[in-house]
Amino acid sequence: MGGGYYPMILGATSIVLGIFIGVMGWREKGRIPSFNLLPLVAVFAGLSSFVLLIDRVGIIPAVCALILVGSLAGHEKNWTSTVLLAFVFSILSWLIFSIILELPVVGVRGLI
Amino acid sequence: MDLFTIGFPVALTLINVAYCFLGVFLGTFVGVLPGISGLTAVALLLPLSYHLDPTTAIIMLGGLYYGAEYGGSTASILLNLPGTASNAVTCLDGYPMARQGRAGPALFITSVASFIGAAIGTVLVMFLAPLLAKFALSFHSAEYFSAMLLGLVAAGTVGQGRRIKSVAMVVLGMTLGMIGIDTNTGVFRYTYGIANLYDGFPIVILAMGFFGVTEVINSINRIKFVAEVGDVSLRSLMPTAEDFRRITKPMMRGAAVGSFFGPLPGTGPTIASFIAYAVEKKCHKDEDRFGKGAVEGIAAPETANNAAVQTSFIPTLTLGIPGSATMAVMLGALLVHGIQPGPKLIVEQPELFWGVIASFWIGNIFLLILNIPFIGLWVRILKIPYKFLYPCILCMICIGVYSLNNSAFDVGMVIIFGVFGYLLKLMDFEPAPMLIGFILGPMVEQNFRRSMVITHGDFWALFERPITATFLILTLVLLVWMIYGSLRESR
Repeated sequence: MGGGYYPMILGATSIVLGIFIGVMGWREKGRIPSFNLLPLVAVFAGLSSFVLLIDRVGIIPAVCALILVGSLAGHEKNWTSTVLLAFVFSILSWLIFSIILELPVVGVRGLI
Repeated sequence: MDLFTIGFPVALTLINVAYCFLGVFLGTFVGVLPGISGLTAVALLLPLSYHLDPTTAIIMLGGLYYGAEYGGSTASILLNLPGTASNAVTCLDGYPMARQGRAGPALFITSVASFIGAAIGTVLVMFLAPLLAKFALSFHSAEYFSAMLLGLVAAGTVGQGRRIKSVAMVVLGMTLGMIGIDTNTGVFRYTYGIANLYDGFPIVILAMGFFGVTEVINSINRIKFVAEVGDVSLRSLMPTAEDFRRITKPMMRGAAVGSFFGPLPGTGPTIASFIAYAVEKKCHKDEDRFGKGAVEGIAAPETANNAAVQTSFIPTLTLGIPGSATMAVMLGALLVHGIQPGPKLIVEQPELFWGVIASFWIGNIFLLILNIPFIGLWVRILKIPYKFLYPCILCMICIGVYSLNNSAFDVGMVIIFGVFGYLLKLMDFEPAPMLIGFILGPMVEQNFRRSMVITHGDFWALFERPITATFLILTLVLLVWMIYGSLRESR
């Protein structure tokens, strides 16, 4: 039994299950699920901007971008409070992670 | 009694009492808020628990888990919107009670029922876990393999939703759990040359993606801001004597149902509460009272889900087999600390085992105080608009995952799992069985290989061991039942 034995079993099971589920779905009347598209895109974009910014620019801009972009998902927008939220949260996470827990994260690269 | 000589001295140290309180407090908090489940909360605090002593970590995470069961009923009663999935059935009679102006007694009854359920569940853990551990001491790799296989199949077949889809999610979880270096042969599997994947990835990443991010995407613009949820003063809480007389027996039945489903792999508190409600309805001749504010209809499921939460610790701590997805995440926390739960845990780490059980008593008493005199606080929390809440949750997910390894790659994986998880949810694939597959998959493989080494590759030799044979036959029965059920469903 090599390292590929178990993946092979799982792969084969997945294929069989996939075919079975596909056939079942094909035979019955479907419904198109209602899609939360705007939140999906906004959350994806917000989280992605965090990933792109955290190592390059630092934790404060990364958290700000996450909250500002992520907030685009909501129908009702209140920019004053969102900006305030982003500001408070980014400073707070910088204080907790860089200063108190001393993780190797910079606040803003080149500045703090 | 080991509980008093070992357990309480550990649980009553200042740091453990403080983290126990933190756990149950945050547990009630997220339980009250619709849109964050107990599992997401456990995953969010998992990075913090890495810095703690393992006993303290489990005390805190356990508190979160059972605390969420207390809080969840508040939203069910006041908003007709379950705080967590296992409180969904409480809406059926809890919300009508609130409409009739009896929100106070409903909140009081659910808290008392939760406490009774937790107490009965904890007593069962105290007595059954050592017994099961003694029985499991004779287990070898073959028994573990078959017990875990049964757990995996049960996770797929007993849960909610389409059984075949749950089984597919278990298999997906096992596949994801396999990623990384194979310990037996040193072969890299499914790493595609990405160095970050060589050691696999922790279960937190999967839980944060499939539960945290998915829940956020799913809840935005669906959870409405509530301006007025009614006044809940302490005086309005007291149920009548008639109520007390009516809920005694339902609570006992609920506790029995919960204690039965709690330790079973793959079932957990949600199924326990639904079945307890169904059982309760059958027990009364005047069935049509249910759904119109019957006190029995909130007492039974609330007792059941708390009993199920506490008893789900039995298989996790004595066999290392998680009874629910949340327990799978907690098992991941123990593994990070290098503790492999199993039958020897009670003997080798009595401080951990008895300390955690003692903390259940302390935590549940905290919860009783938090949920009856301080109920007004939680009612006010319900008014926090979700539009402010979800950016904070996203932020905690990102920073929590990033702090694990200081790796943006890990956060990237959470994003992929989150989006993928949302698409799967749209197609009615439940993510909970996947987490059980993820944590059990590698263990099943290890134990299978070890037992194959012992039997020289003869699979049928496994059937010569009576316990293994029993487990394997049960697995087979479940599989046949699942296939039969799926064929009937699709017709």
